[in-house]
Parts: sequence; C-alpha cells; structure tokens
Amino acid sequence: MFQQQLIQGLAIGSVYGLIGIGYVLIWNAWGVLNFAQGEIAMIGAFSVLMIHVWLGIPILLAFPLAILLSMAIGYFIEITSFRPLVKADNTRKLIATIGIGIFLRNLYRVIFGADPYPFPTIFGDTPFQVGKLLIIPQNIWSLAIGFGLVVLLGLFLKGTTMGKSMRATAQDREAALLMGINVKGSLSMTFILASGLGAIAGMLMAPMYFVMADMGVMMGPKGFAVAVLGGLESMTGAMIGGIVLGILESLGAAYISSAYQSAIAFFVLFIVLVFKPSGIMGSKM
Amino acid sequence: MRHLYKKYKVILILIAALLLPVFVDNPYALHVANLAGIFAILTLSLNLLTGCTGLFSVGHAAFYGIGAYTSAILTVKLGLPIWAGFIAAGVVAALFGLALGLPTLRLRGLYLAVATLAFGEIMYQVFVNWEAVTNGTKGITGVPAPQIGPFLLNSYRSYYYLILVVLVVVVVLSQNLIKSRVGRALLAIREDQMAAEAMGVNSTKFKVIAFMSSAFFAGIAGSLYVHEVRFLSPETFISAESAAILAMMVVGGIGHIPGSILGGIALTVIPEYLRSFGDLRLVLYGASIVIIVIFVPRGIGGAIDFVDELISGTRSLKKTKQRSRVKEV
Amino acid sequence: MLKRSFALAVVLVMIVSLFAGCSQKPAEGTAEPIKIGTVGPLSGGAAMVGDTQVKGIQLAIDQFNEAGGIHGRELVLIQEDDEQNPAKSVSAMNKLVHNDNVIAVIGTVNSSATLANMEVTKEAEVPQITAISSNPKITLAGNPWIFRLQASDTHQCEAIVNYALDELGLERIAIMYQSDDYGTGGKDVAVELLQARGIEPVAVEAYDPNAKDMTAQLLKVKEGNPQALIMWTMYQQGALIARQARQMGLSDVVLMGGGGLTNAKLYELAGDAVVGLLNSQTFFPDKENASPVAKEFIEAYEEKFGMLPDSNAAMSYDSMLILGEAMKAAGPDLDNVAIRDAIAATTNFPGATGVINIDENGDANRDMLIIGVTGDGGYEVVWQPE
Repeated sequence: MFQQQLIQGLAIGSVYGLIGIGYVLIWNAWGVLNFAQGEIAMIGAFSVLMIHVWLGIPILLAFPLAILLSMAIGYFIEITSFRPLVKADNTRKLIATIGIGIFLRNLYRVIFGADPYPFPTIFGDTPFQVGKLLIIPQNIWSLAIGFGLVVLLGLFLKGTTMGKSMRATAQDREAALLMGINVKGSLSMTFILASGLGAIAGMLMAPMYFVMADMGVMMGPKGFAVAVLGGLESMTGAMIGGIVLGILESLGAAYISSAYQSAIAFFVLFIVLVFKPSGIMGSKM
Repeated sequence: MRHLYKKYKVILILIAALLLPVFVDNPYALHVANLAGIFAILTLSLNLLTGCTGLFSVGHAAFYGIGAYTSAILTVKLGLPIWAGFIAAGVVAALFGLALGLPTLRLRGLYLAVATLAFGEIMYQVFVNWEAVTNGTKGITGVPAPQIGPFLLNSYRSYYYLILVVLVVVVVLSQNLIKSRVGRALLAIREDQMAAEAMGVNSTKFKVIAFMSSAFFAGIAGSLYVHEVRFLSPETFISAESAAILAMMVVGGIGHIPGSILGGIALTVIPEYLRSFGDLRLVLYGASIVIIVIFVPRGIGGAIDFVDELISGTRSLKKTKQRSRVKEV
Repeated sequence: MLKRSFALAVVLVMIVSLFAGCSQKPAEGTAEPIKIGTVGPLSGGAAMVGDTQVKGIQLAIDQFNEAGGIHGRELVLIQEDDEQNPAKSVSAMNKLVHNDNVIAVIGTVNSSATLANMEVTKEAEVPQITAISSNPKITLAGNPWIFRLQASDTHQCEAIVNYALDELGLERIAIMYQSDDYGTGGKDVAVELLQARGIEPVAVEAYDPNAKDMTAQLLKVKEGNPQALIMWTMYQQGALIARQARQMGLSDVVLMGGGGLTNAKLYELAGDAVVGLLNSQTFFPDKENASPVAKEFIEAYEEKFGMLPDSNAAMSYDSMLILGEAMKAAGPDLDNVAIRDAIAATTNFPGATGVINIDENGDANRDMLIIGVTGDGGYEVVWQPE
C-alpha cells in the first residue's frame, strides 16, 4: 500500500505544483502572491468545459482555445485589478487578490450555478496494473505536463527576448525601465503566462474532480504553501513542493489519521520552515 | 471651533457609540453592531502583530478560536463563571501565541506567513477532530449569557455595552502599548529588524511580546463571540476568516488604530448590507474589497486622518493639489 | 483625493443606511403579502443544496398563490445566505426575523448552523421548520419552536445498516464520512449501531468536505477488505468516491449511504461507478412508481425548473406545504403560537416524501425506503417496510 499511496500523492501533488508555479511566476514579477490563483484554475476548467463539452469542439483544439480564453480573462483581471496597484505595497496587493478570488468564484457560481459539472476523461481514468500497483493514465499525464511545463517555461524565460525581458523586469524593475525594456508589457505577459498555467492546472483537474465554481477554494492556500515550501524562486521548487505536499497528505492519511490529513501535511510544512526558513530549495535570504 | 474639535472628538465619538442602542431598536442591527465590535477587536489584535511589528500573520482566526473554545469549554462543560472563561480565553490564546512565536523567530515575510497559515489550518483541524474536548462539528450548545452583578446580559442590546467597554479598553491598551518603549521597539523591528538589533533592540523578546499580546486580544474577542452567538462550532475559524481579518486590517489602514476599528466594522457591515442584493451579495463584497484597496490607498484610517486633518486645520486642500502635481517615477 | 473621499463617502452612506433601513416599519396596506423566510447555504461548497431548498419552497408557494393565497394574501419568499457558517446563519436569521418580520422560517441545511440559528427563532417566538438538517440534537433541545422534516441521522442510518446486516447478510463494513456535522453525525450513529450488533467496522475514514481526492482513505479501506462501504456524504463527493473506489480496485464493494446521495446528478457525475449504489430515503424520485402526491410534485418541479427534484427539494416542498396548512388553520391573524401548534398537530399529512406525522419532539419520522441506482441511472425501490 505504501507505494500506491506514494503514487496517489504524486498525482495530486503535481496539480498542487502547477498552481504553485503560477504563484512563483507572479511573485517574482509583481512581488505579490496571487491568492486568486485557484480561481484562475477554475476559470481554465470552465473555459475548456464550455469549449469542448458545450460547443463540441474536439479536445485537441479545445485545449489551446481554452488556454487562450483563460489568458484573455487573466489579462482583463490584470488591467482592472493589478495594474492600478503596481506601486502599492505587497500587503495591499495580497488583499486585492483575496477580493478578486471571492469575486470570481461567486460570479461563476451566479452564472453557472452551484451544481458540479461532469467532464469527460481525456487521458483515460481506468487504471492499468504494473505489478501490484494501479496506475491511472490521467495521473501520469499530470506529472508529465507539470514537469514538461517547467522545462518549457525555463527555456522560454532564458532563451527568448520576451522571456529575458520578463526576468529582467522581475529582478529589477527600475533598471529594466532604464534599459528600455517594455516593463508594462513584461508585467502583463507574466500575468498572462501565469493565467495560462493556472488554466492548464484547472483543465487537468476537470476530468478528475468535476467542474464547479468552488473548485479553486482549496487549491489557493495549498498552492501558496507549496510555492513557499519550494523557495518561491524556482518553478522546479514549486513543483517539488507540490509533490512533497501531495505525498505528505497521502501518507499522513494512510499511516496517521485520515481526519487529520491536511493538519499533518501542514505540520510537517511548519517544521520544515522552522528548520529551513527559506524553503526547501530557497537560497539564504 | 477647531480647538474644541481636537479636544473633544474622542468623547463625541464615545457618546455617539453609547447612544446607538437608544436610537436603533432592531435586534438584527444590534447583533451586527456587536459582531462589528468583536471584529474591530480582532482587527486591532492583528494590527499589533502585523501592522505594527510587521509579522505577517494569515492564521489569526486560530487565536480567535482558541479563545472561543476555552471560554465555551470552561463555562459549559466545567460550569465556571463567565469572567473566568473570559480571562482564561485571553491567557490560553496568549500561551499559544508564545507557542507560535518562539519557533518562528527566524522566519521573515512570506515564510512566516506560510507558517502562520499552517498553524491556522492545524488548529482548525484540531477544533474539528478533537471531539472529546471541542465536540467537533456538532458544536457546543447552551453557552450562557453573561451576568454582571444584577444585570443579566441576555439581549443583543445589553451585550452591546459590554462589547463597547471591552473595545474601549483594548483601544486604550493598544495605544499605550504602541506609544511606549515596547511599541517603538516593535515599529523599529517592522521597519528594519537588523538595524533595530544593531541598536540593541532584543528582537526575540519583543516579537514574542507582539505575538502574545496580539493573541491575548484575539482570544478575548473569541470569548465575546461565544457569548453573543451562544453556540460554537469550528466553521467560524476556517482560514478564509483569517484572510477576512487581514483584509479588515488592510482596508482599515496598516498600523492604524482607528483604521483597524473602522476596517473591522466596514467589512462586517458591508456583507450584511449587501444582503439586499440577493445572489450578487458576495460578488459585490469581493469587488468592494478590491475597490477599497485600489482607491483608498492608506485605508479607511488614512482617509479619516485626511478628514481629521482638514477639520483640525493641519492640512489645507491647496497644499495637496500642489503635491499631486509632482509626477511619480 | 477625490477617489478617497468618494470611497469614504460610499462606506459611510452604507453604514448609515444599514442602521436606518433597519428601523423602517413596513407600509400599511390592504392584502399585504405574507412573508416567509428561508436560510440556506446559497454560496460555498453546499450551494447546490441551498439552491434546491429554495426551489422546493418556491414551488409550494407558487401553488398556494395560484390557489388564491392564504387568507386572501399572497405569499412571498425572502431568502438569505448563511454560507454554511453557523455565525453567519445567526446573522441571516436575525435579519429575517427582526428586519423582514417574517411569519415563519424554513431552514437551514447544515445542522450546526441550525443549532445556532434556532436560538434566534426561539427567542423571537417564530416557528421554524428545518427541512434538511439531520442532527438528532435539534429536536431534543427542548425548543418548542423548531420542527424538522428530514428523517434524522438515526433513522436513516438505522435503515441502511439494518438492510446491510439483515437483508444482505454482510459482515465486513467500512465507513467513510465527510468531516463536518453531517458526516460525523452519520458516522457516529453507524458505528454505534454496528457495535450494538457486535460488529466492528473494518475501517472508519474521514475526509475534508472540500477534498477532491479520497484515494488515500480508499486505500486504507481496501486494506480492511470490506464487503460494503457506507459513505455518509453528499452526492458530489459520493460521485468522486465511487469513481475513485473503482480506480483503486474496489469494484466489488457495495456502496451505500444516506439521503444526501440521492440526486439525478450522482449518475451524471459518476456514471457506471454508482450503478447499484444503495441509500435510505423517504422520497422516491421516480415518477413511475411514486405516490400520487410525489408524482405530481416531480412533474410540477420538472416543468418549472427543468430538472428532476431530489429529496432535499421534496422535503423543502413538504415543509412549505405543512407550514401553509398550519397558517390556514391558525386563522387570518396568523398568531405565531397558533401556527406553531398547528404544525405540531400535523397528522397523516400526505406529503411528497411520505405520510407525515409530527411527533412530540417536532420530528417527522416516517417509513424509510432503501433505493438503488439502476443501470440506466434511474432509481428503483430495493426494499420497503411491510
């Protein structure tokens, strides 16, 4: 059972990780924790629900379309709520994201109703056996996509001009401005990218966990914890943080108590922070 | 005129607060007023920790809950008198404040925030699952109404006065704390901990003081809550509540005492006011938080300061216009 | 500066108007509508239940109004959201009772919220019916103003446990429950009942009501090699558990639960994984085999809302019917004590959820059915008392 629990932990962990990566991106560029990242994932799930299930567009096309739709919505959020706060201090930005989260999940509930929507499985959810272990294809895809995105994003950020502008802006906004970098554009781009990531996370969650306005509520704080656990500096860190949290939850439920499942995970998180105050992969402050 | 204003403005506000229940008859309004008072106290407590000392806490509902449960358990299960439960609520919460403050001394900024988030989550799970002590999700019923001498405070109106008294006491204590050497040390730590330490400030001691006093007041608020609603269950202390309290502090004005009170009142009253908007209530609530944060940069407290300065004559509109002409870099 | 003053002014206006608005007296006039209040979770994780509660009540109200109202007056429903939170439920109830001056309240859904808010109606002496809360404590608190239409956890659990042990002859039973008042209540009763029969459950696992992934708990359940899994949860998580149970290799285990699982959506969400799932119910959601009252209700509900009702909708409907009849019996001045007594005296009332008798505690316990999900997603009666 131990190995099976590990695998299950890996599966949910990769979803946490994807959301955590969104946190890291926005943190590094904007200096703010987007507590509405869970809702961004929810928007992604609804986007693909509308495009694939309601409009009937085949999944291969629906996926990228949904990502674009989510990015557009993300851009809209950025203009209305983040841009005005560019010069504000971090605590105010954080509270704004909390307000945005409340706004979005209730807006979607009013529009789409409170009932969950089923979503057809994309990657297959019947498990196949490897020895004594049951592996669900969906979960492998989550992991693969998660790490794949980390690699792709890394290449994008280091290799392309746009990516380099984003990194420069994140490192030192004033210097970037002086260098002639389009700071506004880079900031927007970072947000759009993070929205796309969140959307992908949501789309991976949709077939597993149904689509409902409330689906981001748990993901928000967990994504935050995961990003910080990973050190807030690297996307790989966030991914690893996500997996660690997922495994902690699984094993905690299995061997200690299912009722205290998330408490155990958070307790270990707490201990880690006490002993390594800058997170698992963070550098010294 | 301005002289009188400066001298008597606090007394005027107090008189208005005392007279509120005389003019407002409706138990619903009084109940909301009581909740507003309780959240004002909570926001003040968080302000001590996050606003004044810069220790970012996203798990404050935990202390609120610890105070509430201590009070409820002592009065309902052990039959102790209410004032004992009240004091114990603050003390036990303060002890937990110590328990959280000590291990997290080395943590800064966001890492501390996550640690407090973890603490909040853990406490919530304990409230939910430790049924032997907290009754878990079934809740504790039959919490008695407070009795002060011959007065049985079993109506929202009478309880209002108790909350008002406690609020005033908390405000006075907070003000004194902030104006004292302790308060200056806390502010120094907020601005630059290393510099403060270089000046000889024992940051460990003061951080712990911040945690404990903040937790104490939050615990007191928890006790007040329990005797207002007369029922206690864990859902009141989910991490969304901690986020709400943080929002109240920011909306009110970070580090600002009147601001914290107004922030607590505003974010308690607004969702109730929005009930007339039916289904859109929470949509508008979320939007109102964003709007206030964007358009009122120094929080409601800052806006009040502005009005206050205008009236007292320490600021004139002309100067403001000149200042705003300077372009921001 | 303008922005700041503007925002400040808005906040001040809102605060003042809240308090001012509260003191307004309703306008005097002839044929003033009768206000009925309802509290429920209209947002958050249980919003779908709050939603069906409102729909059930509204259908009954519309039917009363079409028949000319009660005492010549139209009925009007005022709904408030309590976000599943007991403290907010108290606020919502206060508003309904003291601000809107409703005649009676139907609500709320979550037992802990009901336990909190029934203090308000007790204090104000306003009749309250909870259609959906299932915690036994509600009617045992010595509060004469609260009534309950849902079959309590004790009844529902007894029915399903007895069926498992007596009719199916099972011995190895696992329990999974959502860690809130609903799930914990059911779990407590189930464990007690099993132990009273000398059986120890092979696994008892909890999960967060908002959790999406219960595979860790299911793996532990699997270790116990159960024959049946009783899940005390709502249909949304029931669907998740059913699917994940299949994925974890628990396909041969009989899935069972209480009323919370009954909903057409269950099959829609989980598909084949829930075929054969059994639960205890008073309301049988199938037009073909339902009682005449239930059949009419299902048809009317479907026509009005475009979807099939579940038991929560049915119980909310019945609550309003009973309240309406009580208001009729109380006479045109709608005295609160008269209404309360009329509700308490309800006997042999033909409701959509069965024949209802209100007992001395205010409970409406009646015969439980065991229903099962059929291969095409419909329901069939698997067992009923003689």
